[in-house]
Amino acid sequence: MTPERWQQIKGILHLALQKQPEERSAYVDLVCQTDPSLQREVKSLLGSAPGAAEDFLKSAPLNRAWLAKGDRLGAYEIITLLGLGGMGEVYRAHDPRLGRDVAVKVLPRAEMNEQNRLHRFEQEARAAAALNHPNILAIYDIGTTEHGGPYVVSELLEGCTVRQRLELGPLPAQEAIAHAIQCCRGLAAAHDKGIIHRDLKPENLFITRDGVVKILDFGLAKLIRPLPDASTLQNATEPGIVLGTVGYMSPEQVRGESGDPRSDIFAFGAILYELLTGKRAFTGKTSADVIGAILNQEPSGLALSKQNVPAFLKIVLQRCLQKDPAARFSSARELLSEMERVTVSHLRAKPLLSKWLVAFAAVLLVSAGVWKFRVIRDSISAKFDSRNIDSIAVLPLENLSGDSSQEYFADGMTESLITDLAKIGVPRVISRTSVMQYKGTHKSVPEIANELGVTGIVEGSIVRSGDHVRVTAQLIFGPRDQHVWADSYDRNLRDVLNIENEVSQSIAEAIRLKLSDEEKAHLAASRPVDPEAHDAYLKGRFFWSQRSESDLKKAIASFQQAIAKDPNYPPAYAGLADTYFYLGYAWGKMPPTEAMPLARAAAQKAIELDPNSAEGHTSLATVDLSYDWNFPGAEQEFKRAIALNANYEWAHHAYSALLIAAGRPEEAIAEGRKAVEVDPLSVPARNILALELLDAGRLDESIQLDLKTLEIDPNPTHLAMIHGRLQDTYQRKGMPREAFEEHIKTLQAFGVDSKGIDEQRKIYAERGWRGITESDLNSELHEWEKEHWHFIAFMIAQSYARLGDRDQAFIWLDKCIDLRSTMMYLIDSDPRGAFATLRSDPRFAGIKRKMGMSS
Amino acid sequence: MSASSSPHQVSELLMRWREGDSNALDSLIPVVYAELRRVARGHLRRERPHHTLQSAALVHEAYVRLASQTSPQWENRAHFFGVAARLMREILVDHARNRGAAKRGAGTTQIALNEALNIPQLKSVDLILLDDALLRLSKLDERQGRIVELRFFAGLSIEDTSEALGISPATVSREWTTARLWLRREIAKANTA
Repeated sequence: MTPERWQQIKGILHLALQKQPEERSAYVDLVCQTDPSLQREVKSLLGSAPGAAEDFLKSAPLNRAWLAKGDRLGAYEIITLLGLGGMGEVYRAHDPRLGRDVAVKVLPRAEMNEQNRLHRFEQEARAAAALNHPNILAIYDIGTTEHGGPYVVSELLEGCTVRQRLELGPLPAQEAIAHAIQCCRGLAAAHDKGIIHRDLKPENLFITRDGVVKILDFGLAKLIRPLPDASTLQNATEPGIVLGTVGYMSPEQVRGESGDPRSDIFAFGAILYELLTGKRAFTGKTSADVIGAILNQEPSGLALSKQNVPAFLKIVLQRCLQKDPAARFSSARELLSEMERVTVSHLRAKPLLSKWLVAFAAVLLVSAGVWKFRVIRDSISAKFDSRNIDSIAVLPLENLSGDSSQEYFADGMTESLITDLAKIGVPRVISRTSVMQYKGTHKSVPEIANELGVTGIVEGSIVRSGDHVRVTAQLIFGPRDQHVWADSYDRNLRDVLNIENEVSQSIAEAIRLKLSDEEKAHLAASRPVDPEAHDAYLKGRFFWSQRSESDLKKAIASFQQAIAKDPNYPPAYAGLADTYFYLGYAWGKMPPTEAMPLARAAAQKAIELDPNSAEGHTSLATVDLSYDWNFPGAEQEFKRAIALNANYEWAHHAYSALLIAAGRPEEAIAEGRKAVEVDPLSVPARNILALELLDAGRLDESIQLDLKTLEIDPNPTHLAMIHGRLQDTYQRKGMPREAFEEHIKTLQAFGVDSKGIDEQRKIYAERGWRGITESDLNSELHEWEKEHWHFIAFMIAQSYARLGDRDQAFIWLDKCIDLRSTMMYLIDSDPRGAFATLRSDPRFAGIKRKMGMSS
Repeated sequence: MSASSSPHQVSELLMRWREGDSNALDSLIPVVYAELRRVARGHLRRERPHHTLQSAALVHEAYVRLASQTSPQWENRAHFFGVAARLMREILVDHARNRGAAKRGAGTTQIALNEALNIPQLKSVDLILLDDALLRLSKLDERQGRIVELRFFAGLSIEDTSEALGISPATVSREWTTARLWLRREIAKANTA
């Protein structure tokens, strides 16, 4: 087909569609006589129109039922159509069983075609029907039409909607208040039962002939959204149909949240405003403009002044219309009591009022007035302010390069941002291990913010191709999922450090953090770095964070590569130090005598290149502690590191280990808590805190924490550590059965098969804990034969000590010293309680002397 | 692009774009794209298992987010929706294609868009087929393709579409009607093929 041909076809189609359906075929035959292929084409296109509604634009959007007089709907006999609303048709019908007339609202079918929705509709309708209140429309019955559209039967009202009343202009204040209070009473009754309206508007408020206000359509808004279509959009009384009745929606609702009772309060405020002024609270030419007004504008105060709206009412209004739900009345009940109080004071100003009412009002004012005012003012000023962002989590930047080998680059950039933000003094920045858990997550921003206890979330993405990199970043006020700042950067790879700094600085500005000149200089002084070196460094940090021995070896290679490219690049040395440390600690089997000197040398180099490197000082401290057993030296380095960057989890973490070992349990707990605070989801941080609680004898707290950590879904190694500690804790609590079950779980986490587990159960049944310890010792000795790993030597010493074999225990501890075991710094505090039987032995002091520790 | 962190950045870019600065569009697209992806992802996270991507809701939500950080009187709305519709189409179609690829042999991906589209008769639109058909339609009539994109993927009303493209509402509805007939037939053809 050619474009010209298509134009021709369209023309004929258009004309054909204007004919009656039955005339179309003949019409096409007539105009296409000379061109059979054109005729076929047009007919085939017309044939694709569904039979029932040939012309889409004229078809009703909502499959209306269009019932006629005499039609039956269940037990009900239709009398006449009363009106059409966004939600369907309303009929007057007769219920012959009770001999009364009722109102029947038939809801659109298209929206309700799913079983579960129908089910939900019934639930909601049932809940609404339970609301027996004079200010809420009474629901009698529900059912389904033969077309599948649900219908609701309710009391029949005579009068007009508030919308219709408003067409006559604003209401006198007293009348407006009277209506508003009735509406409030209905709302309060519903909110008390946990039912939210979600679509309160003048169309949904009815004033009966007797002046009773009834709220209509409770619970239906959630189920049925008006749909965008030509016919509804042309309805001038309903701007913004696309997102529902935008004008009365709360800011949180226009943002797509489902809303809570406070959303109804907002809508109530908008309606009250309109009742008093005759003008909409939020206006705009289009739905988008109305949304903008709801989110950003205050309703005009001029209109209120023009109508002489009393000041008390203005304050109530203002509080209802707060953008932040937390600043509004928390419930309709609270609003109602405030409204009633306002009424009294308003009436008091009227000369006609009786004396007792004046007295009554005065009492109320004296008792409640003063502090109420303060509450109101405080909550108004507690509006959202970007300065409220005092803690930030940087979510893993998304790698949009479509190349998973670039993953480390995005992760590395995430980490650099975390470091930068911490350095420039954001009070709390969540560290890498916690945020990495959200990689590829399915959680929403408010959920994440809540879990991490932060107010700010940074999100972004990276696209890298060759030497070119594009970074997009945005800062979101987490609790409200609201933008604070966003930007994108297109750069050469060489400038990548600058991008990181710019992003950090922009975020600092966005949250109005005052950067000292020194901090600015610190950020700006980023020396140009060889992109390849940076690249290799990021790769190294990625492998390092994986912690398996093979990944750690890859990390070493990457850091060395970075150093080869740029021998004066401090972070690469710190990374190298940390990797050697891990390899010599328990994550790898490198002998400490090899790993630790390398770790120390690298840490010292990092510090030499950048004396302010918190990472460098921490690395050095860990070596001092676990390898040299030099407690004072290590403590000094830890303190230095924390002073340089209080958001560095690893510094708090390792320092708290020192404090346990030094027998300062409460300080250890405090430091461990800081580690968890900057890294709430880090299993290692939580592990060390649990150990500290156990050490301090706070057994129940320790158990609580471990059980919570299990919910984070730790990896098998961590799982084994947690169950192992629970075993120790239950032992100390004198609960051997529970301890044994934890022992079994520890073995399972290590991958012991069911045969092995059965054996353990058998041993325990026959010989109790002693049997288990003997069996542990056997396998440890077996391991030792295979490989002389310092960690196993330490375990063997513990097992002998538990079995009461002091001679062997000391022999093995001595061996640990010779191996320079990185576990030995824990000898004195012994949080697992293995060495208790050794303490009184003079050889114990000898061990400590040999280690260079004072007793 | 400069690293300015002005909160009015998006509207400035739109302004510049409207004034003929084509670089502005290049700078704008990643911001809008990131936002749409974010919103879409948020929905995918929250939504029910057989998630219905309501493109109109997504675009509007993205607009609300971006609009809320700038002036509420956003005159460049139409331009925003122009960009957003194109990006939304990419996101949705990519999503459909990826899902299809993941479930190879499970047939083409069906995503129920009827809520967003308000075409009750088109219960579930095969997005990939739709995208292909739309591509062909755009070759026959570029403006008609744009109309479908705006109506379909950004959920714009007839009026908003007319504003965005600077043509009368009557023209929009005429073109929209015939475009839908054409698309419906093409999709039906492909489905039976």
